[in-house]
Amino acid sequence: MSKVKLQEILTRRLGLVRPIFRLERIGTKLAGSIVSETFKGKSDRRRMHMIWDALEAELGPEYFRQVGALLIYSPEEWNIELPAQVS
Amino acid sequence: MIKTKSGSLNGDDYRKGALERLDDALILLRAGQFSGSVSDAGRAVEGMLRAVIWKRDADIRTGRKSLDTGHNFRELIMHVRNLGLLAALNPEKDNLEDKVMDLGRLWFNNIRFASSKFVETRWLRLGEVNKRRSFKQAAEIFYLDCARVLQRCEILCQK
Repeated sequence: MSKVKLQEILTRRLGLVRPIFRLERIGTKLAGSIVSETFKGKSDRRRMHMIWDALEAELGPEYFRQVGALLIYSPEEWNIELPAQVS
Repeated sequence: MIKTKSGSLNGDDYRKGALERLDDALILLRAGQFSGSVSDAGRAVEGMLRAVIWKRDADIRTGRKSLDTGHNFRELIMHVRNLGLLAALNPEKDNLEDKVMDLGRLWFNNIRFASSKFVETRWLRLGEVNKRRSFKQAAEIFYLDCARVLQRCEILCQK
């Protein structure tokens, strides 16, 4: 599966608001981070079940052969300032 | 990307390995193989903490210092704290340090050798498994907590 296809599936199935995807291929699977206002105020458990349910509905129970770890963020969680690196 | 000696891991190797271990943990969790799931989820946390340290501490990255934490979650998260990174994660709302300490109470390096019965008995003694929380439920909570740590650490790796 391509990154574009995975983005399209999740955006459509979950109705993601202004999503930002940072996907990469790790081994044979797509993995990475998804940021969207849709996840704001939702628990970790709820977020993960949203993703699993969407992928399973679209790709079937074997979806995990194509999709690896996905980390889910609201924009507030992603947009933080970090200190400079220690040198 | 900074190269390391042949055969040694760099920050991106640790990070990608951690994401793979987290994925493995979910597959094992859904297959009902809870000890394996816990082992891999914990290893994912260790790998991601190592990735953060490698990426954010130039002394480690350049080999001027070595990372002598072993597999100890407490020492790994203290190293991250000493880099000044935890304050940025809004500690009042999201106490990553406490979360990692809790996980380190339940996970141990030799868990990879342990049967599910061994881990369940140990968690029963620690109060993590009880009349209201089965080993299956506790393993799912452990997975979600580990995923939360990776989620927060990924920000530290990416920015």
